[in-house]
Amino acid sequence: MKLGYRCLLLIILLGSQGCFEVVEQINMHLNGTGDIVLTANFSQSKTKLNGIMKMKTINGRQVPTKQTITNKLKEIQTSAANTIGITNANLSSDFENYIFTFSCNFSKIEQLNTVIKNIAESQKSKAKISEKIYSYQLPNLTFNRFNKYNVKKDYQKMSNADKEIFATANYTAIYKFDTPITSLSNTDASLSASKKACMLKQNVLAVILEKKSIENTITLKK
Amino acid sequence: MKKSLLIVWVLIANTGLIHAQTLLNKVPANASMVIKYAGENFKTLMPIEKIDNFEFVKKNLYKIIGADTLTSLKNTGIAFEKDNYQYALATDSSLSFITLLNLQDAAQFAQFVKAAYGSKKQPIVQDNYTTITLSDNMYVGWSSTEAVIVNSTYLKKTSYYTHKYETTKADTSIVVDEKITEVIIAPQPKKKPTINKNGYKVPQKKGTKSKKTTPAKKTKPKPKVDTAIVAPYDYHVEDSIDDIKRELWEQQQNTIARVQQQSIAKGILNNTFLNTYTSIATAIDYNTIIEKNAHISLWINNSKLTALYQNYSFSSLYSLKEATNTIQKTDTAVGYNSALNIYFEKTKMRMVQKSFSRDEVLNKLTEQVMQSKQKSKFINYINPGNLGYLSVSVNTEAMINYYYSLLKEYLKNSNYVGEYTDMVSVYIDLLAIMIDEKGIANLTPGNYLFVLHNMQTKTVQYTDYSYDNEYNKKEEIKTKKELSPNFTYLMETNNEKFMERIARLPLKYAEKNGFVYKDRNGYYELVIDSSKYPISSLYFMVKDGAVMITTNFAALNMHINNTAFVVDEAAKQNIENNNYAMMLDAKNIFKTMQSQASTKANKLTCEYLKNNIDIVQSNSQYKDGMIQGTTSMSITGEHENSLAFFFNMLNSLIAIQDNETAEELIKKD
Repeated sequence: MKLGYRCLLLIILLGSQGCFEVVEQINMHLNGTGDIVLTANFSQSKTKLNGIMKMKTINGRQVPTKQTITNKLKEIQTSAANTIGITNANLSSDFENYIFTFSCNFSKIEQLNTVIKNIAESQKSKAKISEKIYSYQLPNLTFNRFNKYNVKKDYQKMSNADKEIFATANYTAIYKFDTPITSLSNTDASLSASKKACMLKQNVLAVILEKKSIENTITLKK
Repeated sequence: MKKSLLIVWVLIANTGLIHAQTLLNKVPANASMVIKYAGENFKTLMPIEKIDNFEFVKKNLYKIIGADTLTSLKNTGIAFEKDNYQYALATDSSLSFITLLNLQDAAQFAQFVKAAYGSKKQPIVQDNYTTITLSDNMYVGWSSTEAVIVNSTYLKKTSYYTHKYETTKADTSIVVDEKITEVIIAPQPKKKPTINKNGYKVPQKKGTKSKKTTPAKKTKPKPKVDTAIVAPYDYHVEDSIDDIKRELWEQQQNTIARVQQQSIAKGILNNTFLNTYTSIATAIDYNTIIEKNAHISLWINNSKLTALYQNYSFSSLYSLKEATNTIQKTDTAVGYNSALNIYFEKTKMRMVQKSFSRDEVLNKLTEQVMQSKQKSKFINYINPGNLGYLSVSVNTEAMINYYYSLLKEYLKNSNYVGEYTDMVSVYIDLLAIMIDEKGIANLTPGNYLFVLHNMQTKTVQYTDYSYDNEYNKKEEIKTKKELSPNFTYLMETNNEKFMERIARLPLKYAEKNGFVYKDRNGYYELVIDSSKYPISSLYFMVKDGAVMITTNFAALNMHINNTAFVVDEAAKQNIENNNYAMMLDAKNIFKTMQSQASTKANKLTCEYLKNNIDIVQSNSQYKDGMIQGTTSMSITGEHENSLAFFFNMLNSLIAIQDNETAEELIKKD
């Protein structure tokens, strides 16, 4: 089973019939070190989720228990913590509001690529994992966010009930730097007042359908 | 299957009746399901030419059946004005879906088939009929007056994994069926992947040689190594080999299936055209419950379909073969046969359900189960303007006795267990001795009522984020409106003391288990965190021979004070005269759902349904030696009749979806 498809299934189970938001925030320093905070916020759907968590199946799929989710998240945390160059790996779960946050520090951003690969391996995914999700070229101070996963076909195979989950879901990326940004490749992204941060907000469905992109190449002032 | 189903879609616009029973004579008596499209009865509802004018018919249906948009249904050669049939036939190795059509012009039909499926398909001319293979599982045959479409699925395919794990030999070679002469081309084995120093496969570009593959960036050995990085090499290679074996196995299974399906279809076509079937036309099981005046009639053999469904639900598709073993053992004379007779009337669509068995014992048991009447006091809790209700009134004691017989019958017909029928019968009788049916019936005699009073909106809080001009994230608490169901559930009891004990039980454990459950002097309240769940309180009460569970404080007070809502006469009639009675105010339910729909298409769909569907009502009772029921759906809006509504609805809903897709494409551009 493809990793992308697995991700979609997990999102369906957590976000069934409701809105959710994913926020990816990276603080990137000039020397290549930094930290990431990844937040999945399902709180807009919490009343529905509370009901769903009491059920065994939804849309023909098994509903995971809180314990199962917690265990899976711990596995992810452990997998991340064991990756070279990754420190302070932390995962918090708020089952009151259904907000899940992962954070860690890295000495090189490419280590985040390894984290994702290791997580996929630890979850026994047979999917071909993209080598590059993030990159940072120190000499020319360029930060790249890639998105090589193609889940459009998997999405199209889904039932209408499942598809609806993505209609109102949002993805937000915030990248902060020590020096001002001189250029952004993604025209949907905007710059902060100091020009040291940029934000990109996209509808998840538009990204899945490849109408919008979360890819970005950010060049910093030397 | 999809194609043959859709071909017959169009049959629901027939006109005229000639040789009404002819094709029924060609439906075998052992069919699991039969659908009749009564041509004469459709005569005044909708002319065939009108169906051509629906946009969705041209865009979707014609495309599926392979016809071009200039084709008219009138020019297909099919006699839509006569009675046409479909039936399902399950054998020990296959499940087939057969369509029987009257032809008005065989040459035109042959031309239609040729145009739709291409001239490469060569017809085979037999003595008095012609056949053609449309696909691996779809076959068509026609004579001068009738056509038969067979969609057959072979059920004895074996899953690769079942084969793999059940085979104890180290040899993994595949045994090929002697009957199969077709050569299976094996896929080329995948190239051995190049492995970099970290143990990962290096991706190869198409058309590039592996020598030129650039290895991944060199990295210095790290003291901290994740176990997942160590050696995926063997895993991937083994996986590739296994993939090839699986593909080969599946190819072989598909070939076996194709040959078998062809043989099954050939048999069905022969039997149909040579009239060798013992027909269902004279079967009492069929004729007793099929109504002549219905526009569409569906007849099912419950035992066969239940066995098929159970085996399909509890096993993979490959294991459907097991289903047929059970099917073979079922006896149509013992179980129930059911019919659904559909009428497209001016302002409503009406469905008459009938279930009949020739087994006197079973009939007697059923009659006893249905000898029950809803407690009249329960009707008091149905409020005017409610969104729906469900009333059930059965004789619990008779129901338990019915289950003993049903269980015996089920096990008698099951594989393996069936060999020990006498022993099983003794065990079930022992179970009957141990179970106190009268005690259970005393606790819950069999009267239940559920009322959905309304759907209220309530405000819920959620966490959102806002960002300052430097994009620092700040958590914010926001609010939104959500639907909250307001309902009442009532259950009759003659053992109030026991029910009261159950209702009191949570009081003792509430604090320890962290929930709020209060004795409110006459009733109990479970306080629910409204920020977490759609409802804020659930009330429990045992009084006057009834257990009440409700979210509606007004209904609770009525129960305390022995008062009532203004009685809805229609609801009263529906409930008092039937064992099962159900009503849904579809118009208001769609209106409520519209406010919660997340996409424009869903909002428009709700809007359309709200404006065109009114009340859906259903009931059933035991009458004339069988279970009989009626379900009706009232329609509003400007439609000539309910059949026209059905087509208009499909046309409109498909257009809504298509528009949304078009709008998305425009946005993309």
